[in-house]
Amino acid sequence: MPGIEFLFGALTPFNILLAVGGVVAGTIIGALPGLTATMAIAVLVPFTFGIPPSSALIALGAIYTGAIYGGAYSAVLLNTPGTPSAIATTFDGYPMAKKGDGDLAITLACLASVIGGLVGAAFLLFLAPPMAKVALKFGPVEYFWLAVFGLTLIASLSEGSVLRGLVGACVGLLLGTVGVAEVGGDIRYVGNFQALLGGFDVVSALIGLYCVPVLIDLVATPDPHLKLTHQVAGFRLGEALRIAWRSRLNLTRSSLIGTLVGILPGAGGSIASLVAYSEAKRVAKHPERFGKGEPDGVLATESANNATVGGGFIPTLVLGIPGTPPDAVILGALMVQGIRTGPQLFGEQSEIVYTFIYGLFIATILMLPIGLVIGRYAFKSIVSIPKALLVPSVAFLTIVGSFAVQNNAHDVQQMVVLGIFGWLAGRAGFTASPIVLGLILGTIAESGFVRGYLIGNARGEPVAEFFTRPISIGIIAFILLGLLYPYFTARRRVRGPTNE
Amino acid sequence: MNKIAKTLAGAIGLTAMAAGVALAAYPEKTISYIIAFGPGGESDVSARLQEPFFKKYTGQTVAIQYKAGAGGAAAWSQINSVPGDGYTIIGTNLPHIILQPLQKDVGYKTADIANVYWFHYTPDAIMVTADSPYKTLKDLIAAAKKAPGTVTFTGSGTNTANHLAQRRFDKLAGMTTTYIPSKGTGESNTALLGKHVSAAFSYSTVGVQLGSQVRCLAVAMDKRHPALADCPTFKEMGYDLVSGAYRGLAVPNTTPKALQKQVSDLIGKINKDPAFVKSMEDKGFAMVDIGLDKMDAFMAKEQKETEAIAKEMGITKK
Amino acid sequence: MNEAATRRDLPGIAGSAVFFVMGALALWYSRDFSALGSVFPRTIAVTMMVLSAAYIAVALLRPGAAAPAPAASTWRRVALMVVLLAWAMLLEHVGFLATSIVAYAAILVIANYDRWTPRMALTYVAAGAGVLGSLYSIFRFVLQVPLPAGMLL
Repeated sequence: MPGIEFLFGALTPFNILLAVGGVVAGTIIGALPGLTATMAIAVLVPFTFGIPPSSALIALGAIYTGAIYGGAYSAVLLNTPGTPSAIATTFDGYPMAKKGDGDLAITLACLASVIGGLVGAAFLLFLAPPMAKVALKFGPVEYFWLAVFGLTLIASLSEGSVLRGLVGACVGLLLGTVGVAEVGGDIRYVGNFQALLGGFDVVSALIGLYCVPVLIDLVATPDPHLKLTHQVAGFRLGEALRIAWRSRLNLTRSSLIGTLVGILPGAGGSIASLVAYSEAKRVAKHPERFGKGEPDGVLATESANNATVGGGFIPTLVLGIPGTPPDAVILGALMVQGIRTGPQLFGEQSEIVYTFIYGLFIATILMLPIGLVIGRYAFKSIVSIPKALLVPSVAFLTIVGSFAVQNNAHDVQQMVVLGIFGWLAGRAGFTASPIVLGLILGTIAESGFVRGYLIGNARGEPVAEFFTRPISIGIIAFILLGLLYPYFTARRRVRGPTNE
Repeated sequence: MNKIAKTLAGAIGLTAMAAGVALAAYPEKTISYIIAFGPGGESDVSARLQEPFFKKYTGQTVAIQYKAGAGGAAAWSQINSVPGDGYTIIGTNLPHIILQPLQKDVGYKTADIANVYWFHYTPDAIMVTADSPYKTLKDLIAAAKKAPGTVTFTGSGTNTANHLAQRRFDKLAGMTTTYIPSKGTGESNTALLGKHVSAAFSYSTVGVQLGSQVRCLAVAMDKRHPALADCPTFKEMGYDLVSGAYRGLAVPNTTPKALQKQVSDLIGKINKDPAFVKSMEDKGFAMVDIGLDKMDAFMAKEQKETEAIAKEMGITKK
Repeated sequence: MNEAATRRDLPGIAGSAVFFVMGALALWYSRDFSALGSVFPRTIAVTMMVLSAAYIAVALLRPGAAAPAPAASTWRRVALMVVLLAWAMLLEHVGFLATSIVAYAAILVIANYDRWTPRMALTYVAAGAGVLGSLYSIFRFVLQVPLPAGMLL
């Protein structure tokens, strides 16, 4: 094992304390809607300046992985992703909670997060430099096709009506164009509203579109938010382990997807979990169960998004290019500490890197007991708190959370307006996920499209640029596969209904 | 008459002393340092490097806060709405605060911002990958002249310092290159290292950060940067290009002039600390010292030059 | 079941109509954009219009199950929306803590279905103050988020 001699450096009491503290802090912060992993790290970075670089990295990595896991709590219990990477966890996590299986969902999320995190860290340990090279091959054109791929997935995941899902995605895409255009500098659809100059912030949109409709519907009836069908005893760990074992192929595949997406600079947990989820649904024996509370769905999304932590560190440490948004903050912190990232980090300065990687392993493993305990308390409190206190408390969290993103009251206004809009759209049958995912993917798609066009144009062949690059061809093949696969399976079902 | 004059003088003297005492006591508590961008960028790093020195020279801490949005405009348009008591300072950037109001209605005018100090700049620099066929600046220019438009430069943003530099240099060298905007340094570094573009018009800090993975072809400074000793200046190669992104500090414009001077002097003191200078230069920053006394002349010059280029590029608002 | 089958998906049709108009507006307002800046919005706007029109057509021709309207209290919903809007608009000017306290109390009343007894009122006020206080402190002091003070607090 590379750098195994540094394992003991990671096992010092100080570093273990940092790992535990980081996981706890990260989990709690990630669970609060509006506080993302990026913010958690940004806030806690100053505390890491007095300590040695490898310890600082361990602390930050622990916070990061805890936050990505913590996002699952509000996703499962409040249908609001605590971080963007938990969006896909709402697909099956919340229905499970509504059915009375919220505690099982949280335990599954914990198991999946740990497994995904370990896979990502393993890639970081063994394959960082070569994987970083792969990441660099993805240019604007590849990102464009990836975004298109993501958008087609949204369509296939829409429950009920594919058309409605696509319209929702278009709404999200359009919302993403508001503000200053990245290429060309046009100011689009801002009118006289100063508040829109920066465009729609993803986190505010997330909170507004997911959480506010839940609150609006909560006040409408006297029924309790989540019902308990059984005694809250234990963590249902045995049950969860059995489900996880049965689903081991799903877990492996989702973790791999998560790691690979995390390696791509700029792509993070939200995209990773979406792809993993749709793949899990596509190959499942009973795909119709997805979206209604299928445990495999939660396993897929939570393992993928935690795998992006380890995966994201690969380009960050090897190339000095942030793999995911929190990595940008970590890079800044490293810069201040005087650590220069790059290939030499794995060569002469390898002590720092390997101590950190082993520390990340330890933090991820520790997340299992810590996550289970915190999850139990989160579940119990949300379930037992009376609605009259739950609604205003969550409302406060949405207000302060959307403010805290950029310390700007305009984001709060955006959040509320989008929230009310989201509720109305929900009544018309248009759910939040396509809109939010359209918002996230839209910026990637447009940037990839325009930049790819400019690059191809400079070579004199703008169109060929999009269709002749090998990786792009691979992604286009996936897109076609995803679009046509349902037709093949549908035909097969029609032809042989008695084969089940 | 004499008695009145004396009383007046005494009163004025007392008031001045009281004010002086109040001023001398500044700062008495934590100072809020607002960064107009998200965490992890150059503005953030340079602020964090200043942090320990604030403590050293005043005994007080600074609380760094991020207020990102609209390329910095979100924070700059709100700076004058906080009390001008010297306890809120905000990072400012050139050419941003001149360019933005010229292009569109961003909620503030350049003259609204009360700058007190410009403490460093990141010089523009052209970079290629270490294994690029372009070994010197001449190679790059020759290739661009041979096939106009095919040489692609990436940089951070549209109508930003990088973009302006690319346009300026195109003119100086008499060539045509294509600019591919990237969203931030991360994306521009990926485009460069992944060889999706021919070169990057980036900053000296990036050259230091990416180390041996890139080759710096030229840097827009008067003299070579100590951390990039192998990188010639544009001037050396015969092109008069000295530019980059300046970073400084401003206070709400309601802050009394005397207090502004205090803040300016404080930053100046930090800027002369050899340990601070070393930590900045090691990362590729280039120090400057434009304090309150030189501020008006400096801003007037920058305004004129930036406006000229902006008009030429056609990006001023209609 | 027959009744449901003949009911058209009116909410869906209405929503699609709104989005159709949205797409048209987006197209109209894009006429000032530069060449590169307009490609994306225009493509999306056109796609949106086509898809919404398609949905309306499908929904009109093939009656499906409409989203069931849940038995609900409308005034509470509207009240909540109003409180949230006011909260968002006022927090900067009146002060974060002040607006939060008022809004929190208001939402507490809106969300409560049980009959008010003095004991309950006291418990809720105490619990609410505790939750609000600790959350506020976490954000203000631990996470160092600069919550605006405004006129009051």
